[in-house]
Amino acid sequence: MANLHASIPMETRRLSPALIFFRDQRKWVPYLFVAPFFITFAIFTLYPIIRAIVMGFQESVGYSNQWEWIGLKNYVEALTNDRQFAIAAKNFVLYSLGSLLSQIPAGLMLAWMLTSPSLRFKGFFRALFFIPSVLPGVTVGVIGAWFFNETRGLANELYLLFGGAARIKFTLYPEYILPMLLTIAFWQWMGNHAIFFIAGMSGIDNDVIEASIVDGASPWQRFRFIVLPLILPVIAYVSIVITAGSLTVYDVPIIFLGGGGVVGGGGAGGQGWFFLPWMMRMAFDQMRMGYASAMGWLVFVVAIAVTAVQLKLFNFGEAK
Amino acid sequence: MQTQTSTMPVSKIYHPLRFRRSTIATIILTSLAIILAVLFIWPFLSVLAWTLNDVDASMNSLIPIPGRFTLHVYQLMLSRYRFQDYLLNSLWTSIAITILSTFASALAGFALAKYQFPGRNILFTIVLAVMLLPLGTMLVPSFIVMRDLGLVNNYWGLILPTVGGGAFNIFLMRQFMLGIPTELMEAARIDGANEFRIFSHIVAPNTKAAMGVVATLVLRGAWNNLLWPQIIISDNAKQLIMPAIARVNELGVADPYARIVTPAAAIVAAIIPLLLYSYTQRYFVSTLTGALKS
Amino acid sequence: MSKKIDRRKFLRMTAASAAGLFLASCAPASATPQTVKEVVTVVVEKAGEKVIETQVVEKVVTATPELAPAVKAEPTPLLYWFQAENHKPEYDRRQKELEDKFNIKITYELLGRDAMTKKFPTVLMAGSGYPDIIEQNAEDIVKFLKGDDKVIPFVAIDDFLSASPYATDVLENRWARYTKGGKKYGAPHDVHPIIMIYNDTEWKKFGVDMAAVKTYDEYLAAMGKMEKKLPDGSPRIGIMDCLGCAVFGSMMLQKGVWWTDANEEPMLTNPAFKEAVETWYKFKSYWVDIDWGNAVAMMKKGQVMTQFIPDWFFGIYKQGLKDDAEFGKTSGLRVMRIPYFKPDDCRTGSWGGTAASVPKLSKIVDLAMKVLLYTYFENGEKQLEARFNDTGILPPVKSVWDADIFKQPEGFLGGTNAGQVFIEAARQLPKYSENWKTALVASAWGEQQALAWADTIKIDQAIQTADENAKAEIKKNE
Repeated sequence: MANLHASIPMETRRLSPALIFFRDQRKWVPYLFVAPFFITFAIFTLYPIIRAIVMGFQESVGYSNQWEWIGLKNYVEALTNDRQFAIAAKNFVLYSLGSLLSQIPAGLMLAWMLTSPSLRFKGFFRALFFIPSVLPGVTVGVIGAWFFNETRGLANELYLLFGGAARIKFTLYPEYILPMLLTIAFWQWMGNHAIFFIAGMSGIDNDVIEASIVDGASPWQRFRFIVLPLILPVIAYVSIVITAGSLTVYDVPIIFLGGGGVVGGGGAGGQGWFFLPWMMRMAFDQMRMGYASAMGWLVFVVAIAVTAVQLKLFNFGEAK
Repeated sequence: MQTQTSTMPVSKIYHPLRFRRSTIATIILTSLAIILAVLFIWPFLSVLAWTLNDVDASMNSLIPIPGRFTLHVYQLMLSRYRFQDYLLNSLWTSIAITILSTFASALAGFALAKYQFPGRNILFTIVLAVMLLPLGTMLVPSFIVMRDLGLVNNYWGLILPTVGGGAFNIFLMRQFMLGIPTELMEAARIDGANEFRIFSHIVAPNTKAAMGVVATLVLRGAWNNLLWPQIIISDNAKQLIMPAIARVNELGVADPYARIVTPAAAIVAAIIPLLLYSYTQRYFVSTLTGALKS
Repeated sequence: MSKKIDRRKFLRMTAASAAGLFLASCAPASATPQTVKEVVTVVVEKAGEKVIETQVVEKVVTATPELAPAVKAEPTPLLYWFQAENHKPEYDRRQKELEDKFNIKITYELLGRDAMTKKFPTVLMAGSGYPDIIEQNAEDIVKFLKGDDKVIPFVAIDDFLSASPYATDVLENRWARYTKGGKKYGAPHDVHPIIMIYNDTEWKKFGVDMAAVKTYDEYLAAMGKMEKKLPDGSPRIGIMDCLGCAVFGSMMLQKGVWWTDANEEPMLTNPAFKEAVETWYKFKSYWVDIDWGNAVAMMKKGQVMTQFIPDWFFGIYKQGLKDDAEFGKTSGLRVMRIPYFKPDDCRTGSWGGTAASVPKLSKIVDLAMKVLLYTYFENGEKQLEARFNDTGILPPVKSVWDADIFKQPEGFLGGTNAGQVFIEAARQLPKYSENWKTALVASAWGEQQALAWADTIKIDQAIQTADENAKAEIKKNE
């Protein structure tokens, strides 16, 4: 700041604050840079948000444009009298924890491997692992369903190969729902996270590494004390994206558990519900848009809470 | 204070094993990578092989080799279902969205990372919150907004909301840009550069990796978008690729070809983002310039 | 809304009077202007509710026979949404016919099921962009059958039906599904009766004459005689079906139950339901899921021995096999009625179904209704026969069933006929009602049924849990 004042000629220091404001680009340029986001937000997102919040306190009368105010009834019902919502909450916790614990370490390891100078054809491998994340949700769901299929699926073939007794029809057992979905998610996203980590790792200064090698640090020490802290912002991002994704997972459960129609979608024993499929079922098949909105906002609150916790944990994602 | 240019040979990237490069390590690592890659790609290959087979054939799932290699399914895809129309529609809308959104995200992320200004934290919180909004239940009001603006059944209804950058991407750019040394920017200012030049000459080149990532993400998101185009676009001829695939997929039992054409279309649809990724992936690994020793 | 109606009325009147003035200006002196009263159906807002009313509008028309015909009024635009891709060829073909007959301009929009179920409530609530005729899967229409007539967003068909020439011709029992509170809200596109297709040649190898099989017990016994492997080692399947579609659905109907009864109560605890479940479970070891492979190819090969098929699946067989003349010569495929429990059971079931309705919001309800009924039930130019020929779908119009096309031999059935079998089955289709509760009950059962099928829980417990869950759901969503 001292520099800045020094650079302004003596006579202008007596000018109005407004002029100084505009003279100093640093003061207003940020607002310009964020303006596109804010304007589109105000036009396309703000009104729907407000309207959807209001909808959470209403219910529609006969699929028309008429709404009646029912206060907190929707929220109370969602929290106390909704079997599927409770199952979705449980599944969210398990699914996000499972995803975090499987995808982040594996992604880091893969990134480590794919930035090794000892590896040939790096570019080819990176593209290869990235492929599953590029596939649309429908395709991944189809591949996943096919993978676990009783009669033609790879999973069963491998099981028999490794000494299993008989084919398993996975979709009949509630305890398999989460493992199956986590496996599919792992397949789909692990390569994607690795790419982020690679990008993060590539931003680390070579000289720091060389210095540490000279100092005699082992590979693990180098990873733990140099690389890890410096890519913490990227890990923070991946972590938040994974949890956000777990809240809004939709395509794969729908295809996998058959929630595309009015009937079904809950999986064996009704244990396969997730937030978004259930909310959509309520909104568009049971015509309870107000109720679905209320559930949506409850999920949103959870999302904010979980994200805030993660940001705190990662110290706001600022690199040290 | 020299600055190296951004594209450096891949081997120069830091790595703890750098000085112990040996053929054994190479062989082991490469084999491991091959095995993993094969495992990963196997399901995809199986489906691919299935689509290269005859329509009526059933296949051994363990071996992803088509019994009779034929492009019949892909021909069907073009002639009977006209997927080329949908692919083109998706192509040019996605490109437009990618360019606009990446640029806006970079700007906003930059502002949030490197500037102190009143309202900065609030804005960042808003960005994060927007990332987490329950879009599914906001469909009806969003549709009403589009209708009132006259953007229904119009590609602008898809493009305009993305012009401000996406919340995820702004967040990502911010995280990457946090690592840009403020000293660099100060030095440029002293040299007389205005903020825009700082962005274009210092920040942008150094975050090519991040920009590449964001561009790929935006393209992938725009390309794979299903729900919103389904609602906004009514004309079947104008429809994008994913809603088209979803529609054909649902024909499942009633249409004998739908079940096999769907994966074929999905595979073709996956090629575009994949090509783009392979083309830009060298940017993912360029180093941050900055021989500025602090 | 009412503003737009006025504008339309206004435009019509203007057009009509302009036409009249034009004619008047070139009419010979002897032409006399006439005042004509026309009855018009409009939607009017009364006390905040939309009500359909008829109003009398006066128009001035001047015309003499010697003059050029009156200027044709602008064709009315009509938006038609549908889901089933296999209806598209018919609609493409008939578009001109319909446009000429009703003086309309039809826009057909083909939406996937997912898109339509999201879009339709959205446009209803947004108040614009809705179709004039919407054709949906049965389950998507019946979910709107909730509450009384005032809140159901579709126009009741009854009056329009009785005013049409098709009133008594449509299969009576088929309406029950789309009826609530005594009013019909959806016009059925089809009957979808279920019959059985089987590979006679293969069965004869095991000494089974399928055509003689009458009861489910005999059917089960036949399954036992079948070799479980083909000569090349691949598995042979007795019956191919999704877990609850054709066979179980038929068994339910034959036992006289459905998901909900005429009083909208769930029927899961009805002992007949349990009997149906137990019978179906006996076939477990001979069953494979329908997405295991291409049914047509497998039946042709003899890998699948029997399949319960509705008429639209028969259409799929036709599409796949009709050009295969070689196969036709030696085909062992035959069709027959499905087995029964007791001789006086209805020997059929039904799987799926499409129906169309007119949303109340439409501004051309009258016209849309006419177009709808005509599209669905008119056979003056053999449109319904053409539909059967292309898609195998049996129309629900009884008078059409005498047509020759239903008596044709099918090449791939070795020269035997399928149409008559379908018609016999259709005549026996029982009444069953559906409403918004149906999906809840069916879902609740589906969730528990997976556990029962895997023997994780007993059938009794599955039924009980499903019933409890269903009732709780219903109560919650009332």
